[in-house]
Amino acid sequence: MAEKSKMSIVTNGLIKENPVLRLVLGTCPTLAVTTAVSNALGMGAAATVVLICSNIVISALRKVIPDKVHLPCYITIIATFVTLVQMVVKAFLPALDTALGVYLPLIVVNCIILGRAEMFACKNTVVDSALDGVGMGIGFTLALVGMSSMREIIGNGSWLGITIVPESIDRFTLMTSAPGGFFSFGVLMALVVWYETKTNNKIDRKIGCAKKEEN
Amino acid sequence: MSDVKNTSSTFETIVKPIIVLTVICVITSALLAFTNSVTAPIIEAAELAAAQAAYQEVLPEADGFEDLTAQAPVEGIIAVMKATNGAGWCFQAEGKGYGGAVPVIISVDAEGKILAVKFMQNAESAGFGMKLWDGNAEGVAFADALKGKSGSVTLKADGVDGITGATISSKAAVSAVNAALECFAAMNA
Repeated sequence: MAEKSKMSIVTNGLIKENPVLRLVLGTCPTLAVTTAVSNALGMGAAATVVLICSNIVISALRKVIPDKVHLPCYITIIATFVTLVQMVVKAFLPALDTALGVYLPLIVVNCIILGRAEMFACKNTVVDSALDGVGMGIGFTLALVGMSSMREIIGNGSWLGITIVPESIDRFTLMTSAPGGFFSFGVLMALVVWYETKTNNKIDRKIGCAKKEEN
Repeated sequence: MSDVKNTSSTFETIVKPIIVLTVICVITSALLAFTNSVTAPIIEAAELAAAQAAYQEVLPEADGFEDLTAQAPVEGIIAVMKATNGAGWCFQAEGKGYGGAVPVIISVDAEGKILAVKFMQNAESAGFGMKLWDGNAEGVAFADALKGKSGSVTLKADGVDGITGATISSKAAVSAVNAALECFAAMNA
Protein backbone atom coordinates (compact mmCIF):
# COMPACT_ATOMS: atom_id res chain seq x y z
CA MET A 1 0.00 0.00 0.00
CA ALA A 2 1.25 3.47 -0.87
CA GLU A 3 2.67 5.48 2.00
CA LYS A 4 -0.05 7.73 3.31
CA SER A 5 0.61 10.72 5.49
CA LYS A 6 -0.25 10.05 9.10
CA MET A 7 -2.46 13.12 9.18
CA SER A 8 -4.54 12.03 6.21
CA ILE A 9 -5.28 8.74 7.96
CA VAL A 10 -6.81 10.66 10.83
CA THR A 11 -8.72 13.23 8.75
CA ASN A 12 -9.96 10.48 6.47
CA GLY A 13 -12.50 9.43 9.06
CA LEU A 14 -13.86 12.91 9.70
CA ILE A 15 -15.81 13.63 6.52
CA LYS A 16 -14.36 11.86 3.52
CA GLU A 17 -14.86 8.41 4.95
CA ASN A 18 -17.03 9.30 7.92
CA PRO A 19 -18.02 5.88 9.27
CA VAL A 20 -21.66 6.80 9.85
CA LEU A 21 -22.41 9.24 7.06
CA ARG A 22 -20.25 7.91 4.23
CA LEU A 23 -19.50 4.28 5.03
CA VAL A 24 -22.97 3.87 6.62
CA LEU A 25 -21.70 1.61 9.35
CA GLY A 26 -23.06 1.29 12.87
CA THR A 27 -26.42 2.87 12.07
CA CYS A 28 -28.33 0.99 14.76
CA PRO A 29 -26.60 2.56 17.78
CA THR A 30 -26.47 5.82 15.85
CA LEU A 31 -30.23 6.02 15.54
CA ALA A 32 -30.77 4.73 19.05
CA VAL A 33 -28.52 6.88 21.24
CA THR A 34 -28.77 10.23 19.43
CA THR A 35 -31.77 11.43 21.42
CA ALA A 36 -29.48 13.58 23.60
CA VAL A 37 -26.09 15.15 23.02
CA SER A 38 -24.69 13.80 26.28
CA ASN A 39 -25.52 10.22 25.22
CA ALA A 40 -23.91 10.83 21.83
CA LEU A 41 -20.68 12.03 23.44
CA GLY A 42 -20.61 9.05 25.81
CA MET A 43 -21.31 6.56 23.06
CA GLY A 44 -18.74 8.22 20.80
CA ALA A 45 -16.06 8.11 23.49
CA ALA A 46 -16.78 4.48 24.40
CA ALA A 47 -16.77 3.35 20.78
CA THR A 48 -13.58 5.33 20.07
CA VAL A 49 -11.72 3.66 22.93
CA VAL A 50 -12.81 0.23 21.74
CA LEU A 51 -11.99 1.09 18.15
CA ILE A 52 -8.47 2.30 18.90
CA CYS A 53 -7.66 -0.66 21.17
CA SER A 54 -9.06 -3.29 18.83
CA ASN A 55 -7.35 -1.70 15.81
CA ILE A 56 -4.00 -1.76 17.62
CA VAL A 57 -4.30 -5.35 18.77
CA ILE A 58 -5.65 -6.66 15.49
CA SER A 59 -2.96 -4.97 13.42
CA ALA A 60 -0.30 -6.23 15.84
CA LEU A 61 -1.62 -9.76 15.42
CA ARG A 62 -2.36 -9.50 11.69
CA LYS A 63 0.51 -11.84 10.77
CA VAL A 64 -0.29 -14.34 13.51
CA ILE A 65 -4.01 -14.77 12.97
CA PRO A 66 -4.72 -17.37 10.27
CA ASP A 67 -7.28 -16.40 7.61
CA LYS A 68 -9.53 -19.30 8.48
CA VAL A 69 -10.28 -18.04 11.95
CA HIS A 70 -9.78 -14.33 11.47
CA LEU A 71 -13.41 -13.41 12.15
CA PRO A 72 -13.72 -15.36 15.42
CA CYS A 73 -10.39 -13.90 16.50
CA TYR A 74 -11.48 -10.33 15.72
CA ILE A 75 -14.81 -10.77 17.45
CA THR A 76 -13.15 -12.23 20.54
CA ILE A 77 -10.73 -9.31 20.72
CA ILE A 78 -13.45 -6.70 20.12
CA ALA A 79 -15.84 -8.31 22.58
CA THR A 80 -13.12 -8.34 25.21
CA PHE A 81 -12.46 -4.62 24.85
CA VAL A 82 -16.16 -3.81 24.88
CA THR A 83 -16.68 -5.83 28.04
CA LEU A 84 -13.68 -4.15 29.65
CA VAL A 85 -15.04 -0.71 28.75
CA GLN A 86 -18.47 -1.72 30.01
CA MET A 87 -17.15 -2.89 33.37
CA VAL A 88 -15.07 0.25 33.81
CA VAL A 89 -17.97 2.53 32.82
CA LYS A 90 -20.30 0.66 35.18
CA ALA A 91 -17.85 1.00 38.03
CA PHE A 92 -16.80 4.61 37.57
CA LEU A 93 -19.47 6.32 35.43
CA PRO A 94 -22.76 4.63 36.41
CA ALA A 95 -24.85 7.51 35.01
CA LEU A 96 -23.38 7.00 31.54
CA ASP A 97 -24.04 3.27 31.85
CA THR A 98 -27.75 3.82 32.48
CA ALA A 99 -27.96 6.36 29.66
CA LEU A 100 -26.35 4.08 27.08
CA GLY A 101 -28.12 1.00 28.36
CA VAL A 102 -28.00 -1.98 26.07
CA TYR A 103 -26.13 -0.04 23.36
CA LEU A 104 -22.91 -0.15 25.33
CA PRO A 105 -22.52 -3.96 25.17
CA LEU A 106 -23.82 -3.78 21.61
CA ILE A 107 -20.64 -1.96 20.55
CA VAL A 108 -19.41 -5.53 20.02
CA VAL A 109 -21.56 -5.82 16.93
CA ASN A 110 -21.06 -2.22 15.84
CA CYS A 111 -20.02 -2.65 12.23
CA ILE A 112 -17.60 0.28 12.42
CA ILE A 113 -15.24 -1.69 14.61
CA LEU A 114 -15.29 -4.95 12.73
CA GLY A 115 -15.40 -2.97 9.49
CA ARG A 116 -12.20 -1.10 10.31
CA ALA A 117 -10.57 -4.32 11.48
CA GLU A 118 -11.36 -5.90 8.12
CA MET A 119 -10.69 -2.90 5.91
CA PHE A 120 -7.77 -1.25 7.63
CA ALA A 121 -6.20 -2.86 10.68
CA CYS A 122 -5.61 -6.23 9.02
CA LYS A 123 -3.27 -4.74 6.42
CA ASN A 124 -1.66 -1.70 8.06
CA THR A 125 0.93 -1.06 10.72
CA VAL A 126 0.07 -0.64 14.37
CA VAL A 127 0.62 3.14 14.36
CA ASP A 128 -1.47 3.68 11.22
CA SER A 129 -4.24 1.50 12.60
CA ALA A 130 -4.26 3.41 15.87
CA LEU A 131 -4.52 6.68 13.93
CA ASP A 132 -7.30 5.22 11.81
CA GLY A 133 -9.09 4.31 15.03
CA VAL A 134 -8.70 7.88 16.30
CA GLY A 135 -10.01 9.38 13.04
CA MET A 136 -12.91 6.98 12.70
CA GLY A 137 -13.76 7.42 16.37
CA ILE A 138 -13.83 11.19 16.05
CA GLY A 139 -15.84 10.93 12.85
CA PHE A 140 -18.34 8.65 14.58
CA THR A 141 -18.58 11.01 17.54
CA LEU A 142 -19.00 14.05 15.27
CA ALA A 143 -21.80 12.39 13.33
CA LEU A 144 -23.52 11.36 16.57
CA VAL A 145 -23.20 14.85 18.05
CA GLY A 146 -24.51 16.42 14.82
CA MET A 147 -27.54 14.16 14.78
CA SER A 148 -28.25 14.43 18.46
CA SER A 149 -27.90 18.24 18.39
CA MET A 150 -30.55 18.40 15.70
CA ARG A 151 -32.81 16.01 17.58
CA GLU A 152 -32.31 17.48 21.03
CA ILE A 153 -32.74 21.11 19.96
CA ILE A 154 -35.84 20.52 17.84
CA GLY A 155 -37.33 17.74 19.92
CA ASN A 156 -36.53 18.88 23.43
CA GLY A 157 -35.47 22.51 23.05
CA SER A 158 -32.15 21.94 24.74
CA TRP A 159 -28.51 21.24 23.93
CA LEU A 160 -26.40 19.12 26.25
CA GLY A 161 -29.21 19.46 28.79
CA ILE A 162 -29.27 23.27 28.70
CA THR A 163 -32.58 24.73 27.58
CA ILE A 164 -32.00 27.07 24.64
CA VAL A 165 -35.43 27.24 23.05
CA PRO A 166 -37.95 29.16 25.19
CA GLU A 167 -40.65 27.04 26.82
CA SER A 168 -43.34 29.02 24.98
CA ILE A 169 -42.36 27.36 21.70
CA ASP A 170 -43.82 23.89 21.35
CA ARG A 171 -41.38 21.01 21.08
CA PHE A 172 -41.53 18.82 18.01
CA THR A 173 -41.17 15.65 20.03
CA LEU A 174 -41.29 13.39 17.00
CA MET A 175 -37.63 14.31 16.52
CA THR A 176 -36.64 12.46 19.67
CA SER A 177 -38.39 9.26 18.61
CA ALA A 178 -37.41 6.91 15.80
CA PRO A 179 -38.73 8.90 12.78
CA GLY A 180 -36.70 11.93 13.87
CA GLY A 181 -33.63 9.75 13.99
CA PHE A 182 -34.04 8.69 10.38
CA PHE A 183 -34.85 12.24 9.34
CA SER A 184 -31.77 13.82 10.92
CA PHE A 185 -29.63 10.92 9.65
CA GLY A 186 -30.81 11.59 6.11
CA VAL A 187 -30.31 15.35 6.37
CA LEU A 188 -26.74 14.99 7.64
CA MET A 189 -25.92 12.36 5.05
CA ALA A 190 -27.24 14.60 2.28
CA LEU A 191 -25.14 17.48 3.63
CA VAL A 192 -21.98 15.41 3.45
CA VAL A 193 -22.74 14.23 -0.07
CA TRP A 194 -23.52 17.82 -1.10
CA TYR A 195 -20.21 18.97 0.38
CA GLU A 196 -18.43 16.23 -1.51
CA THR A 197 -19.98 17.16 -4.87
CA LYS A 198 -19.50 20.87 -4.17
CA THR A 199 -15.80 20.49 -3.51
CA ASN A 200 -15.52 18.17 -6.49
CA ASN A 201 -13.88 15.68 -4.23
CA LYS A 202 -15.54 12.46 -5.25
CA ILE A 203 -13.68 9.43 -4.00
CA ASP A 204 -13.67 5.86 -5.10
CA ARG A 205 -15.12 3.74 -2.36
CA LYS A 206 -12.98 0.92 -1.19
CA ILE A 207 -14.99 -2.22 -1.04
CA GLY A 208 -14.61 -5.29 1.06
CA CYS A 209 -11.69 -6.90 2.73
CA ALA A 210 -7.98 -6.93 2.16
CA LYS A 211 -7.75 -10.04 0.05
CA LYS A 212 -9.65 -8.65 -2.93
CA GLU A 213 -7.52 -5.56 -3.15
CA GLU A 214 -4.25 -7.41 -3.00
CA ASN A 215 -5.09 -9.65 -5.93
CA MET B 1 6.78 -16.25 10.02
CA SER B 2 7.81 -17.16 6.52
CA ASP B 3 5.87 -15.68 3.64
CA VAL B 4 5.73 -18.95 1.78
CA LYS B 5 3.08 -20.97 3.49
CA ASN B 6 2.55 -24.62 2.89
CA THR B 7 -1.20 -24.34 2.74
CA SER B 8 -1.78 -28.05 2.37
CA SER B 9 -0.08 -29.03 5.58
CA THR B 10 -2.32 -30.16 8.36
CA PHE B 11 -0.56 -27.89 10.78
CA GLU B 12 -1.27 -24.70 8.81
CA THR B 13 -4.89 -25.46 7.96
CA ILE B 14 -6.17 -27.20 11.05
CA VAL B 15 -3.86 -27.10 14.02
CA LYS B 16 -2.61 -23.53 13.83
CA PRO B 17 -6.04 -21.84 13.66
CA ILE B 18 -7.15 -23.84 16.67
CA ILE B 19 -4.05 -22.95 18.64
CA VAL B 20 -4.21 -19.23 17.77
CA LEU B 21 -7.90 -18.93 18.59
CA THR B 22 -7.47 -20.86 21.83
CA VAL B 23 -4.55 -18.73 22.93
CA ILE B 24 -6.46 -15.52 22.15
CA CYS B 25 -9.47 -16.76 24.08
CA VAL B 26 -7.36 -17.75 27.08
CA ILE B 27 -5.62 -14.38 27.18
CA THR B 28 -8.84 -12.39 26.79
CA SER B 29 -10.59 -14.48 29.45
CA ALA B 30 -7.75 -13.82 31.86
CA LEU B 31 -7.98 -10.08 31.14
CA LEU B 32 -11.73 -10.08 31.69
CA ALA B 33 -11.49 -12.10 34.88
CA PHE B 34 -8.93 -9.68 36.25
CA THR B 35 -10.96 -6.57 35.37
CA ASN B 36 -14.10 -8.13 36.75
CA SER B 37 -12.42 -8.90 40.04
CA VAL B 38 -11.42 -5.24 40.30
CA THR B 39 -14.68 -3.61 39.19
CA ALA B 40 -17.32 -6.02 40.56
CA PRO B 41 -17.06 -4.89 44.20
CA ILE B 42 -17.10 -1.21 43.13
CA ILE B 43 -20.20 -1.76 40.98
CA GLU B 44 -21.97 -3.63 43.77
CA ALA B 45 -21.15 -0.94 46.33
CA ALA B 46 -22.28 1.81 43.95
CA GLU B 47 -25.59 0.08 43.25
CA LEU B 48 -26.22 -0.46 46.93
CA ALA B 49 -25.34 3.14 47.73
CA ALA B 50 -27.60 4.42 44.94
CA ALA B 51 -30.52 2.36 46.24
CA GLN B 52 -29.88 3.48 49.83
CA ALA B 53 -29.68 7.11 48.71
CA ALA B 54 -32.97 6.77 46.86
CA TYR B 55 -34.68 5.32 49.94
CA GLN B 56 -33.14 7.99 52.14
CA GLU B 57 -34.41 10.64 49.72
CA VAL B 58 -38.05 9.57 49.97
CA LEU B 59 -37.83 8.89 53.71
CA PRO B 60 -35.26 11.31 55.16
CA GLU B 61 -36.32 10.63 58.75
CA ALA B 62 -35.13 7.03 58.60
CA ASP B 63 -31.77 6.27 60.18
CA GLY B 64 -31.39 2.91 58.48
CA PHE B 65 -33.36 0.29 56.65
CA GLU B 66 -34.30 -3.30 57.26
CA ASP B 67 -34.65 -5.29 54.06
CA LEU B 68 -37.96 -7.15 54.09
CA THR B 69 -38.12 -7.80 50.35
CA ALA B 70 -38.18 -11.57 50.84
CA GLN B 71 -41.49 -11.33 52.71
CA ALA B 72 -43.31 -9.24 50.09
CA PRO B 73 -46.57 -11.00 49.27
CA VAL B 74 -47.47 -8.88 46.22
CA GLU B 75 -46.14 -9.20 42.68
CA GLY B 76 -44.38 -6.28 41.03
CA ILE B 77 -42.54 -5.34 44.20
CA ILE B 78 -38.78 -5.02 43.76
CA ALA B 79 -37.78 -4.05 47.26
CA VAL B 80 -39.38 -3.48 50.64
CA MET B 81 -37.43 -1.48 53.18
CA LYS B 82 -38.64 -0.78 56.68
CA ALA B 83 -37.06 2.12 58.53
CA THR B 84 -35.34 0.78 61.63
CA ASN B 85 -36.52 3.72 63.70
CA GLY B 86 -40.15 3.22 62.66
CA ALA B 87 -40.33 6.36 60.50
CA GLY B 88 -42.12 4.41 57.80
CA TRP B 89 -41.64 2.06 54.90
CA CYS B 90 -40.10 2.35 51.47
CA PHE B 91 -41.20 0.33 48.51
CA GLN B 92 -39.70 -0.03 45.11
CA ALA B 93 -42.27 -1.26 42.64
CA GLU B 94 -42.63 -1.54 38.90
CA GLY B 95 -45.48 -1.10 36.47
CA LYS B 96 -45.40 -2.14 32.85
CA GLY B 97 -45.06 0.94 30.68
CA TYR B 98 -44.67 1.71 27.00
CA GLY B 99 -40.95 1.01 26.85
CA GLY B 100 -40.49 -1.60 29.55
CA ALA B 101 -40.68 -1.36 33.31
CA VAL B 102 -41.54 1.91 35.02
CA PRO B 103 -39.87 1.74 38.42
CA VAL B 104 -41.16 3.87 41.27
CA ILE B 105 -39.93 4.33 44.82
CA ILE B 106 -42.49 5.42 47.36
CA SER B 107 -42.37 5.97 51.08
CA VAL B 108 -45.36 5.57 53.39
CA ASP B 109 -45.75 6.39 57.06
CA ALA B 110 -46.77 3.84 59.68
CA GLU B 111 -50.46 4.36 58.78
CA GLY B 112 -49.91 3.68 55.08
CA LYS B 113 -50.17 7.29 53.90
CA ILE B 114 -47.83 8.18 51.03
CA LEU B 115 -45.07 10.53 52.16
CA ALA B 116 -43.14 10.86 48.94
CA VAL B 117 -42.98 9.38 45.46
CA LYS B 118 -39.91 9.20 43.28
CA PHE B 119 -40.12 8.03 39.70
CA MET B 120 -36.90 6.36 38.71
CA GLN B 121 -35.21 6.35 35.34
CA ASN B 122 -37.20 4.47 32.73
CA ALA B 123 -37.09 3.91 29.01
CA GLU B 124 -40.38 5.62 28.14
CA SER B 125 -40.58 7.94 25.13
CA ALA B 126 -38.76 11.24 25.46
CA GLY B 127 -41.19 14.10 25.82
CA PHE B 128 -43.89 11.78 27.13
CA GLY B 129 -43.32 9.11 29.77
CA MET B 130 -39.79 10.38 30.29
CA LYS B 131 -41.32 13.47 31.90
CA LEU B 132 -41.82 11.26 34.96
CA TRP B 133 -38.15 11.40 35.87
CA ASP B 134 -36.39 14.03 33.76
CA GLY B 135 -37.32 16.88 36.11
CA ASN B 136 -40.24 18.12 34.01
CA ALA B 137 -42.87 20.11 35.95
CA GLU B 138 -45.60 17.63 35.00
CA GLY B 139 -43.70 14.74 36.52
CA VAL B 140 -43.07 16.68 39.72
CA ALA B 141 -46.76 17.65 39.91
CA PHE B 142 -47.74 14.00 39.38
CA ALA B 143 -45.50 12.90 42.24
CA ASP B 144 -46.83 15.68 44.47
CA ALA B 145 -50.44 14.75 43.69
CA LEU B 146 -49.79 11.23 44.98
CA LYS B 147 -48.60 12.49 48.37
CA GLY B 148 -51.00 11.88 51.24
CA LYS B 149 -52.96 9.20 49.40
CA SER B 150 -53.53 5.82 50.98
CA GLY B 151 -55.32 2.56 50.28
CA SER B 152 -55.29 2.77 46.51
CA VAL B 153 -54.88 5.43 43.86
CA THR B 154 -56.92 6.00 40.72
CA LEU B 155 -55.60 7.87 37.70
CA LYS B 156 -57.68 10.92 36.65
CA ALA B 157 -59.24 11.21 40.12
CA ASP B 158 -58.49 13.19 43.28
CA GLY B 159 -56.08 15.47 41.46
CA VAL B 160 -53.92 12.62 40.18
CA ASP B 161 -53.78 13.67 36.54
CA GLY B 162 -50.68 11.84 35.38
CA ILE B 163 -48.68 13.05 32.39
CA THR B 164 -50.52 14.52 29.43
CA GLY B 165 -50.15 12.32 26.38
CA ALA B 166 -48.43 9.57 28.36
CA THR B 167 -51.40 7.57 29.57
CA ILE B 168 -49.62 4.23 29.43
CA SER B 169 -46.64 5.48 31.42
CA SER B 170 -48.92 7.20 33.93
CA LYS B 171 -50.97 4.04 34.35
CA ALA B 172 -47.79 2.05 34.86
CA ALA B 173 -46.65 4.46 37.56
CA VAL B 174 -50.04 4.34 39.29
CA SER B 175 -50.12 0.55 39.17
CA ALA B 176 -46.65 0.46 40.74
CA VAL B 177 -47.84 2.79 43.51
CA ASN B 178 -50.92 0.64 44.06
CA ALA B 179 -48.80 -2.51 44.23
CA ALA B 180 -46.72 -0.85 46.91
CA LEU B 181 -49.78 0.26 48.89
CA GLU B 182 -51.29 -3.21 48.59
CA CYS B 183 -48.02 -4.71 49.75
CA PHE B 184 -47.99 -2.38 52.74
CA ALA B 185 -51.55 -3.37 53.63
CA ALA B 186 -50.76 -7.07 53.30
CA MET B 187 -47.64 -6.85 55.42
CA ASN B 188 -49.36 -4.85 58.13
CA ALA B 189 -52.57 -6.84 58.23
